Amino acid sequence: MGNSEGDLDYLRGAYAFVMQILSGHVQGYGKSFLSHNVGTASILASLGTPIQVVAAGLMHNVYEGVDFGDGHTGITPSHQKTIVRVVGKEAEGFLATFNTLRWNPDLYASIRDHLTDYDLFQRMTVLLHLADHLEHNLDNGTLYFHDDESAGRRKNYEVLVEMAIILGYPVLGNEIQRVHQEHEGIQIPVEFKPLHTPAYRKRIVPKSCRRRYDLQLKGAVAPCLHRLQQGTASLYGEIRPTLKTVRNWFMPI
Amino acid sequence: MAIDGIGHSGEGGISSKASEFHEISEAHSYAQTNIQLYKQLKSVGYSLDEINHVRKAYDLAKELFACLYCPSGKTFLAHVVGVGSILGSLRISSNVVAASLLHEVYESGDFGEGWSLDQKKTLVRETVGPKTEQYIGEYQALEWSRSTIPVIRNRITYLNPFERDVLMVRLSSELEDLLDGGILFCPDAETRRLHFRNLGHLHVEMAELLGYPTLAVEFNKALKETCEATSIRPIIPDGARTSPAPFRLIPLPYTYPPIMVIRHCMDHGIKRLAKTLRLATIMVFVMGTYSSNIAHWLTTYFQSTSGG
Repeated sequence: MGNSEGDLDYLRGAYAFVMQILSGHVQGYGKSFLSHNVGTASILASLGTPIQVVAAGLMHNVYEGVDFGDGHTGITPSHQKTIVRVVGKEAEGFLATFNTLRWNPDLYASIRDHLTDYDLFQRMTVLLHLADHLEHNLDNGTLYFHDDESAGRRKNYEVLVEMAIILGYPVLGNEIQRVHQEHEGIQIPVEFKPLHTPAYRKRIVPKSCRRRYDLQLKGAVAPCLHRLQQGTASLYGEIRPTLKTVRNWFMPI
Repeated sequence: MAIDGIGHSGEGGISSKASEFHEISEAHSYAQTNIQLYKQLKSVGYSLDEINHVRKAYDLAKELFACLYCPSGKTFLAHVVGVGSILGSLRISSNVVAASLLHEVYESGDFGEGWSLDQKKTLVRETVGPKTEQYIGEYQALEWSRSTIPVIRNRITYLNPFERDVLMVRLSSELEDLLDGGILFCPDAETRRLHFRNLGHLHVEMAELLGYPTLAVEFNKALKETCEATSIRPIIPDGARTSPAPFRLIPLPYTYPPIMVIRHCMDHGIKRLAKTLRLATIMVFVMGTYSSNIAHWLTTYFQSTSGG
């Protein structure tokens, strides 16, 4: 595709960051988020977009419910600083705009109508959304959601096709149209769909890690709990909060 | 070998893109995610029951290989799906495809602490059935090293169908590592390349002798491209081990030191407490301001209903 070794190094840095931060994140139907992100970046690369947009595609959902290791999710100054360090200011700008742009099927028409007034950041953000949408649909992913969710995700896709054309990527528009037309005749058996809703994102943690985490929590909370138990026992007799109830109350993971 | 409708790059995206820099001609078309695999299996004629069997294996693999990465940086799940996809494209039994999704489960799967091999086997057997488990156990027992590969090659004609299927899983796993130039991204890329330079031809011969010439051709091509590639750049994220074995990246919240755990808990607790207090304050305010009105409304209401 004509990208330089420098570009590849840049993407490699972005990938190394994403593989750490999205470790264990999977979609309801079992596909890992890392796969989705790589797929999105791959679509953007195939369209010949600048390397910063490709990197933004690789990281596009890191501001959505992903813990950066400081106990917080979403856009915060420290998270932004971290992203800037990894992929630079421009790519971070795309990510921030991606996260703030209101994007749902009911707003597609309005976005399409204002697309020509958008600046470069906003246009590229819309492109990111289109690539994200295509990636979700390319392997029939959206069909694996429950019926309502699935229909909602495919609603008004014709407007997305128009957006792609307005942005100057008719190939992307055609591809979106093609996958949606393919979906018409496909029925996914119910046993392949996730049991519970909402099932957009979940984190699978290695089993031994879960145990270690419990032990860690126990080590931190147990002394306080013991004192609390002693206090409440002298006051109220038999009220004894357990580790499980306290943990569930504080941290509903 | 292209499979119609599975031309999407998925996990292989970065590797396939990178592969252009390593003179590897084109991205391969095998599935890299579970839903691509289901789609492929359906298109090559597997029945719904067979695909469902593979799904059960994937669901278990997803739990046991959580957060596990190949040394190249690719998720281990993508690798096992790729292996399943290669076998699926050859229309091999669904038991073997399911086994391929769990092929290193006793070695690399995380069952939790304190599990014996027997307990692990029981869990796998209960989930995917005894036949599939047998394949996995046999795969685990198959010694695959510089000294054993020539021996296996020489006695290939004496292998029974079961052993031949197990060998196919092994060969597919090796091919999957080569296909997207994966080994070039490993920390021990040169050692791996040397291994394939010396023994790669035996892999090709074995694929031919097992009756899969297309696999042999593909192996040969992937071998050639990997051995001739000039640029090697491992992906090693911060904190990851540089050993040649698959490594696990624990999700960040689970790597907190105890003090962070307390802080994290307190954050959640304080938020909930604040929410409750806010609600209580609003209720007290409402009751304080409108208590006389509320009492009046209630009295009027009860009077009117009792009067009616």
